[in-house]
Amino acid sequence: MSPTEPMASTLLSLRHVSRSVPIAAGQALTILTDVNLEVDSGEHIGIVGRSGTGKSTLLNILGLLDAPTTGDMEFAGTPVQKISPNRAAAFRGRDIGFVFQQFNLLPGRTAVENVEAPLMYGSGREFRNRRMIAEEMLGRLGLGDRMNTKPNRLSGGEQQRVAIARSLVREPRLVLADEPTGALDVDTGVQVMEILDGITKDSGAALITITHDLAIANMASRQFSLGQGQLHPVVNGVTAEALAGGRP
Amino acid sequence: MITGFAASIVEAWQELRVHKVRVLMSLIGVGVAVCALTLVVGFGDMMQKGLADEYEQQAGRDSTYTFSFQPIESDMGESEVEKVDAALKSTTERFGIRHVSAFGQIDTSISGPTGKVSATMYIVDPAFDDMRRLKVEHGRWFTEADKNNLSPALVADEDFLNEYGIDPASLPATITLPGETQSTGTVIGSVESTEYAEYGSLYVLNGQEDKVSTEVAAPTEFEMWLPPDEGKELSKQAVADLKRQLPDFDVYADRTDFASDMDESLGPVKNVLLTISVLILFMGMLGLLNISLVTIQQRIREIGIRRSFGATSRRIFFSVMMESVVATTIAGAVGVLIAVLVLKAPFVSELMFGAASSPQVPFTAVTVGMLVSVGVGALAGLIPAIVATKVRIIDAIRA
Repeated sequence: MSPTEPMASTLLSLRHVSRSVPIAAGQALTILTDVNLEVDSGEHIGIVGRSGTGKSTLLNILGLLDAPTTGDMEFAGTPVQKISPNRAAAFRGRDIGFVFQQFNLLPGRTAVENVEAPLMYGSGREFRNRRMIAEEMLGRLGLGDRMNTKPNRLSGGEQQRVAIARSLVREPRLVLADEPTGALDVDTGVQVMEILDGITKDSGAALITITHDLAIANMASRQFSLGQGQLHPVVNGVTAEALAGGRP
Repeated sequence: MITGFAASIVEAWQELRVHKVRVLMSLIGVGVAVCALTLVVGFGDMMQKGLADEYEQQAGRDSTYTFSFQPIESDMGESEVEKVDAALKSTTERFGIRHVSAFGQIDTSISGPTGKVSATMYIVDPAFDDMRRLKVEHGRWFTEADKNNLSPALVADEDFLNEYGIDPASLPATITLPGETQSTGTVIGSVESTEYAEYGSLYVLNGQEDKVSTEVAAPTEFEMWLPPDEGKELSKQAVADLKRQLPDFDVYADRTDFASDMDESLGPVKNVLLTISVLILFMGMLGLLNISLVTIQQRIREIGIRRSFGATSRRIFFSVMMESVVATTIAGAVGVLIAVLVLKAPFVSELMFGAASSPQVPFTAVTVGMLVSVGVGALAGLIPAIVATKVRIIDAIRA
């Protein structure tokens, strides 16, 4: 690599990560085995897998909601496999945004209050300007006229767009989307993913999407399939076989 | 740190706003309890203040000592009076005692325009009005200069003036003094009547009693208002000093104010009411705690979502605690406000203290009410806050 060539910055790396949980005395259930993954800034990664293959466990580890049993993990060059819960919370608040299948909007709060919520844990400036920042973000997602509407009055697509706005409002470096279109119809799902993909690209954030939906997975620049606790790269797009067998 | 605190308050307020019906229901108990507690403390303090005023008018302030002087081998003649006056002057100056007054009392009868008027005549010094909380309604109280008046100055209470037929607003006025000489005195001021007195009261300056009536002897008792903390010791030292100066006199001092009786009068009632209020408060707190715990179980998902935003367990603890504190503070403020309105209500004043006047709502009651509100909120929020921090994020998000 020549000195003038731009360096691809690795945002997140997992090396030989495994996760097992105790199920009975002396017995453990292995969910993830020897997972290796490198994610660069601005990259969009799609991970597919059947139910029960450990997709959510992997997402939890990537989002520092859970810790690996073994292996090494770095976030922006910082080892994070054994960080304290408070430091993990600080990373999550500052650098990671989550988009959930069921939207997980705070009930009773308006769209703008939901988007403001992460800014309550931000810097003084973010806290003071939370309303302005949240309104701007909702405007970018085409929800400028729905700011004061509560979640139960929003359509599924609108709710997910509010959730996306909320995940992006603190300008995270990594966005983790867990079945983001799972609760939406096909057309709305594609629209939502296009928005998510576009807005993360614009901000330079990495996006990792975990999904059952092949079309959604294929919107990513790199795809992986998860099967039997192992992560396999998928070449030439995800197919039904890859999803069913966990192999490319 | 400040941002975190402010954000917690905002979160707490949002939470209360979103769940206002639940919050309202759970806080009724706390509000009622705080109101009851404030009422008890307020009533207690007001009654104490009212009683203290009455006691102080009757027997002097906390702490008043009455010094008696009795010549051992003679009667109280002019020379004895002079000796006592000189000794008192010396002792009070030596010990820095500023509030001293003679206290003599005799029932008398005065001829008025409409007939005989019975009165209790008090022989006092100018400091007496402060010492007994006498409130001058019209005219003025005595000054030292009044001792030089040829026509004795008098202060009467309203009962006496009414019976005698003098409009207090028209003071000063001349009255005929008791005795055969039919001499006159000038009423220079009027004071409020006391409820307990059988007759009207007439105050005469010490030293002028002989000008008022030949039947009135010079006073042998003097009151001193001493600092409560050191009254006992000071009175002993004053007695010793007076005995040294007056070897031919029996000198002794007794505490004569009623302040020490106050706790005996009000203590048991206050304690019973306070116990009932604390029990009500405890029940209100249990209700709040119960609802808070159930609510936390219902809010586990929300807590998980907040943790995914970066909320630390400490922040979640503080937020849940603040919800409780903010809510009970509001409920407490409403409770205290209601209590103050009740305490200030005219019918309550009339019932408790008579129509004439009622003591101010004590600041202590308001402070106690608000502090208890905050304390109850913190206590009731503690367990739910601990439960909230124990939630596993992954389980919470999927709940």
